[in-house]
Amino acid sequence: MVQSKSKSGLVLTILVATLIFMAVANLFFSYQDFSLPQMIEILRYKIGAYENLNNFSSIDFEAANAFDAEDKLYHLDSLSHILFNLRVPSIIMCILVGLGLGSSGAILQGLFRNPLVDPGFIGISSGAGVGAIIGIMFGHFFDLYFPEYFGPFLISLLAVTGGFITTIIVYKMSKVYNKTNIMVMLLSGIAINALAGSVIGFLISVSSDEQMRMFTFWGMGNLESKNWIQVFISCVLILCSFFMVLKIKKQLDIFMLGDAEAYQLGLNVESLKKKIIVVASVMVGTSVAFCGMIGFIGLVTPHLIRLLIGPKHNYLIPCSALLGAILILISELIAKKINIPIGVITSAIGAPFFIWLIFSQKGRIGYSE
Amino acid sequence: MNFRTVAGYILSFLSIVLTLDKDFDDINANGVWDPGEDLVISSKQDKFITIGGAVTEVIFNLGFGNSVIAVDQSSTFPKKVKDLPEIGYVRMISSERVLSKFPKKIFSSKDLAPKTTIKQFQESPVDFKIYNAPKNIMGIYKLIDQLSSDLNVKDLGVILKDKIKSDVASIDNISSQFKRKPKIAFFMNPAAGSYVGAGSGTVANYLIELMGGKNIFSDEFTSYQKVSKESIFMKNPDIILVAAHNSGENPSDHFSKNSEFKSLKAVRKNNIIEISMSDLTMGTSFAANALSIITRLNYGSK
Repeated sequence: MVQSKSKSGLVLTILVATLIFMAVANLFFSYQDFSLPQMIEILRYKIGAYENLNNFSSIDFEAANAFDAEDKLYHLDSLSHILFNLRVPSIIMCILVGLGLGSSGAILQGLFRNPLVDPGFIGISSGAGVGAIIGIMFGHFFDLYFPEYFGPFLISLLAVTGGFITTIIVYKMSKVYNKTNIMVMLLSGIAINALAGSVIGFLISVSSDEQMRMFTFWGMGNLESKNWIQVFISCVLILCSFFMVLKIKKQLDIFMLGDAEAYQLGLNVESLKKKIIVVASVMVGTSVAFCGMIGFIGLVTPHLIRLLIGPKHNYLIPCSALLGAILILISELIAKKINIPIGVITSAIGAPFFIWLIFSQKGRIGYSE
Repeated sequence: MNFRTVAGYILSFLSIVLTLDKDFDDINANGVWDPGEDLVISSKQDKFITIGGAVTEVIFNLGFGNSVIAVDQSSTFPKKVKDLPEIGYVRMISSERVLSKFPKKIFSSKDLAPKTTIKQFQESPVDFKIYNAPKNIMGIYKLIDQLSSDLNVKDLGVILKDKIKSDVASIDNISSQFKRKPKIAFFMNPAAGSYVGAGSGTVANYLIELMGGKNIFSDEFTSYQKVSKESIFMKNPDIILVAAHNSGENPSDHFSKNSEFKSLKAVRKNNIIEISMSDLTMGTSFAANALSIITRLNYGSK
């Protein structure tokens, strides 16, 4: 497929507009929907731009049984807390995780030159799973030796550590004569995933009922209850990695020609492979650590974008990232409205859509065109 | 010391005494109260949200059921909690979902997860109280003491504890009559080829010990684990407790109507006792449920 620059630009613009629209929709609609006047009044309360409580005409104090000044202030505090400390961090986290998963999917499919690859293939997700279940089962031991403020981050820390360890193992295993062999890496990823699966299976079999349920819920993903520290850490790690990805997008196009051809054209193939593994691990590791397993985004989004604008990475990477963020925001909105974990929604939307895509676009999927 | 000073001291003393605890005569018009009976001071305006089965049960049993506006999924006792809106499972609570109901007080067990939710509740304007989830009867007494103190109804807490103590005494009375310690097994959802037994760290194990029995798997594992049919025959329990989650099939039939198990002592003596999974909820009704189970045992006395 020939990539038209104007078409790609149009798709990118539409995706940016849709992302902004979905972010705003998530701000207004959730467990408690807000209207625009309510939102403005909550903002005015937050910044102290009001003279007396009677100015807040769009806030329904009666429904909240808030009749005197103390109750009204309390209600406004609650609304402000919901909006600024719970909803806004959750939306930012959705965008970051979507950007991370979408762009990782695109670069890993490029690295493996295989459109069926997703971030799970290099062992990040399964390694993070092992880390998470260790955190869930032995968290009380860690609590004895680590400072108290580590508590809320323990599972995340262990998950990200587990993800990195498995990725390093897969990377080391794939070295043949000091060069990274992509086929060996794919096979090593499958083997390490199977090994991690058996470790998780063993730990689940000796875990308590509560620990098992906790791990099950962790595996279904959660983008709520995120605090500003988690958002800040994710922001630094995912955005830095994303900008690094944008810097290597042209090199990826050359790499698609094949290892030997790319080398002949002067590309440092080994360095590129290393960079891709590192940035993908950081982005996926951070997402899994803070939000659990969110399936299908890394696999589906690059596919959809490739069908729309072709395989060139200069548009493929940013568009996949944006579409990833949009899909996560849509899923999060549905998840909140029907009270189901987000991982269930992403798979429920992604899988049938992916099946339809395969059947309707059989001849167009792949890189050869 | 003049009259005004003395009167001042007396008034201060009286106000301290009156604010320490509400006498239950003041709370219920007729002065008679049974655990679980709603108090006249309790109303929806209090806007309580309760998280954790035991916490919810104690609050309802202390008479504050009318104050509760929503509960978590693990709250199954008393039955009327099913009419209330749910705010998710205790291990996966969304702070926004809870706070969007605009509660004035949140009472939760320490099982609450994820841990960031706890911090978000503490940072919110809501009055947030968190308690250890009870693991045994002593833990239930402690939870009753804490909640009755926080709700300013210590007298009712004493009545509630007395009711549980009376049930425990009845259980001890029955178990002391056993000719020897019965060997008991607990199985969850028994099915062909799949038997999940209870280990030493489970509530089922505590139930067995409370009834004066010995859990046949307590020396082998701590959690709920799959056991082989062979090990069931080797241990040959005197009593088998079976529980199922809303299963269509009668779970006890799996042992009693299956000729394969006819040589087991529990089957021969017709000691396959079916219990509800909710009997294993560690709350104020735990002792009453245990008493109901022990009275159904067909086990020889001295």
